[in-house]
Amino acid sequence: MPAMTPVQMLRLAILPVMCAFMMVVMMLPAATLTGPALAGERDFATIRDAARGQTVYFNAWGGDDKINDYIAWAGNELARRHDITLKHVKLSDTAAAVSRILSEQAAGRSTGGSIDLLWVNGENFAAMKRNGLLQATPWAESLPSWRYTDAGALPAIRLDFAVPTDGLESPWGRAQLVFAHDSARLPAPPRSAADLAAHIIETPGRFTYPQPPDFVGLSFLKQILIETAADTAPLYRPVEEALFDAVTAPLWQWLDSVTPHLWRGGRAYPANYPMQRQLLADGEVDIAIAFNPADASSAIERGELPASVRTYIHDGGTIANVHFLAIPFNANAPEAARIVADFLLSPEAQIRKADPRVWGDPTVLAMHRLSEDDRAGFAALPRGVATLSEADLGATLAEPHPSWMKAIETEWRRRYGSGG
Amino acid sequence: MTGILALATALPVIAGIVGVMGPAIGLFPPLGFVTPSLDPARAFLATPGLARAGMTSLVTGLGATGLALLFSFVLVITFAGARRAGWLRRLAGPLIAVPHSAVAIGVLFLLAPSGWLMRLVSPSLTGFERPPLWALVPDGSGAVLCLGLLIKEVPFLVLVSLAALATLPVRRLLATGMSLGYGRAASWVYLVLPLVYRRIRLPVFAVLAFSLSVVDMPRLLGPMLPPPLAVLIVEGFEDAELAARLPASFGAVMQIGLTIVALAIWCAGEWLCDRALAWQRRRGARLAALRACVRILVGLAAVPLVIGCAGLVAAALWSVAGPWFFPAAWPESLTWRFWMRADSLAPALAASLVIAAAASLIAVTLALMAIAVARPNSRTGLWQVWIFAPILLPQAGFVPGLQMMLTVTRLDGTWLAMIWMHMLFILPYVWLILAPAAASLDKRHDRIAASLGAGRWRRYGRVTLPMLTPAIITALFVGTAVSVALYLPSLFAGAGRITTMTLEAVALASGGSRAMAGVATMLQLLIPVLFFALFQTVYRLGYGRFAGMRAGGLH
Repeated sequence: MPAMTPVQMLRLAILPVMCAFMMVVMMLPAATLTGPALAGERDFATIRDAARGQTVYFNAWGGDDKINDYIAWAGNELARRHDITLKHVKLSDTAAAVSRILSEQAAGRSTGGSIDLLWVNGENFAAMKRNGLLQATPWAESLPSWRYTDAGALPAIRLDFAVPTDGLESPWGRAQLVFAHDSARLPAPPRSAADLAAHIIETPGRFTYPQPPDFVGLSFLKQILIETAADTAPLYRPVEEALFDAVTAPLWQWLDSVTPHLWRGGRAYPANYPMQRQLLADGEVDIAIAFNPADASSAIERGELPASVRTYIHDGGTIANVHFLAIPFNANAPEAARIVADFLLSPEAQIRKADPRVWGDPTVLAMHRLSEDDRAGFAALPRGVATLSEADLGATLAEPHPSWMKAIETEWRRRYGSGG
Repeated sequence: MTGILALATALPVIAGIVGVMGPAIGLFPPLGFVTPSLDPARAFLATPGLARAGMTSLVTGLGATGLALLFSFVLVITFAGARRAGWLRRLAGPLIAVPHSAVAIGVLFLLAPSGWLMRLVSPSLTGFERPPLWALVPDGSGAVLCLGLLIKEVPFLVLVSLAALATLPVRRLLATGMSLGYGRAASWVYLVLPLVYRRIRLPVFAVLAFSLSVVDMPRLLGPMLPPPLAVLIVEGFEDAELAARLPASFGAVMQIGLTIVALAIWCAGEWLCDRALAWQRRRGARLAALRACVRILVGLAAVPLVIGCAGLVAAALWSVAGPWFFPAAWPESLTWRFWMRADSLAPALAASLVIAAAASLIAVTLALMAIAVARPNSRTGLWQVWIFAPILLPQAGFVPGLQMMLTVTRLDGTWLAMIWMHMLFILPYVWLILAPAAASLDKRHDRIAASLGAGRWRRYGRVTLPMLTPAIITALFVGTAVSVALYLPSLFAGAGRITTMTLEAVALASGGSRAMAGVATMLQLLIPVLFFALFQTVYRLGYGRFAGMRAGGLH
């Protein structure tokens, strides 16, 4: 055995110190586990004090008055209980808010930003995370209401389109791709990608999907891709250039076969899902697509869809995801923003949100973590005439990695973007 | 004074242009792009259908502008001077105030395969139980986009033409022409219209530039695949992938280039028309067929106006409609339910009113002060270029860059920034109306006042201003109308702190509820109509007794 150099000796000496340090570090979570509620509550109390009197500018898509009304209700409750003023900034496109935060970052505004809380997921979250536009330290899993969730049962609350949330955004609601059809016109809707293709070719001009880059339109393409792809494993990793063509070939084959038979011959598409819902109401198309299982029911209630409309999903399941609340790095009222996120995750707010008469957005909470009363509260909610039961919605598919969204969009544009 | 005016507009415009030029050549430090490169250009040029997109922009822009000018002249020839001119103004006024997106929504309500027209005749006449598969809207040719633009631009050009006419000795010119044996229509074309055109040349340029860069209309009316160039750019800026703004910035620079090309083509057209007219004039052509032509064209010119109004009626009906499914001609029931929800729009309504009033007043005051000092005519003064830059440049190109500057100075989301930004877009229109009006004032009035011993400011206050009143009132009205309809600048300057009626309306329309879109459209319309009524009353009370002052104003 060769003699040790001084450096090696030093390293050897450091080793035990390192070990001891590591052990301490590893014990830390265990120590907090002994009294998590207590320590967490105490921390949160100081946040609550700091939040008092703050104004939270909540930037959230404002295209649906049901959602707007729900946010207004939350604002009243927060003002009453926590002395927080909630201002809903109604966006028509979340990306616009992301670019505003970006230009604030570019301008060196690291505090006093114009956005305190943002309704976000998927691509926008990934872009924010990549560019350092989010709070520097994790906060979501230390919210008191986090204890009502179960990431084991619903991994999507920690995995936003296969991107780890790292506690930088707090889950708010769930979404799942559902199809709506008018049972008076189309009694037996097609329940798979293959059947759908056959249906489109049989009844030309009566099917369409929102035009990419619309979120729902791209989600529909991902749905078809997952259903037709030979191997879906690559979809859950970042796109690899070499694999893209091979993996997506079945999707383009499917689209090539149906596009000439789409609404307007595939030369025009509705801009978003509410417009497609309108086309279903008008009888221009047979099928609408939505990312909220209760969307059709509430549209029927508002008189925007005929009462004979029903929803269904494909037999192999449909894409499901979770939407979140994020706090930008330069939020002016980060404490109050946390209180708002915590309140919106509370069983009380989640029960109200899940009520189809209010909004009808499925909860992210785990029933087995709730109190008896709260469970009863969820159980008592009406389902809505056109909404599928939880059991019927059971088959879900995970969202591919967000990089696929961009890649599919680019290729879609290349192939169909000039109208053929 | 002119320096201040130029600075107030040049500063933000330069900031905006720098804000797109940098990223266009690959410089965008916030995302770590610090070395110039051709990648953004390459990426944008690879956009599928780009050539067709550019062509669509060019054809629809030039087509809509040409037709709008033709139609507005035909309407002016037919109705100006006659007692019937009043209703033309009253119709044109509110129509220019309707935001473009609202017009597009109206056209869709009316002309879509499941639209109101088809509902009225189905299934009784057509036998359709379901909307037919063929469609007028959205269309791929850009014809419907042209129609939508005409609905907005014909009234605008009619209004500025009437304002220009007020400064011309129309009756004498027509009398001269007719005494030489030319018909009335020929006298208009030979003698009056060239003078009118010279005065409204800049508004026509503004119409051309705007038609090339309109975004909200093609999104509803088509063409969609590929869309016009401006839509491609905005899509880039809206992309969640932040690096997409680099190619989009290059697109914005291209859009500026396209606008210059279109202006060049337009100027060539001007030259040709001028030659043709001079040749006809020299050979003394009587243009006997002109009268019949005008008759037919008036019928055509009425089409966009009628469709525009019918679309608004359809929007009004939707705002109170209960369930209403194809092929029912009328809603199953009427309801005020959607109007009840309008109270949540009250803050936005109030903000819009305040911003429109403040920005228009400031713009008009600035313009009047500049006129007092400089007595400009529309041909000289390079500094005027800066005033027009905001409407000659594509909004999607320089507004994001402008916002960057507001963010640096921490002015975003303030009323100051909002009103300033609106002022920027109002000022060119105000200038277009006031400068030619001031330039064409008969200087002899001023000299007479001077010979009576009145000082410069007294002459200005007692002679020039009262004579400019019709133009001032038109300018205030156009200013408020422009302000209410501004979307992109409000979105960026408001920073979510200040929300306007148009921001609310677009957000609501994105939700696809026709009823709420109808309510929002009606509320958007309400503001300009309110100002219109106000100005008209003020004008009538103040100047109604002067017969010679009736022309040119809104009355």
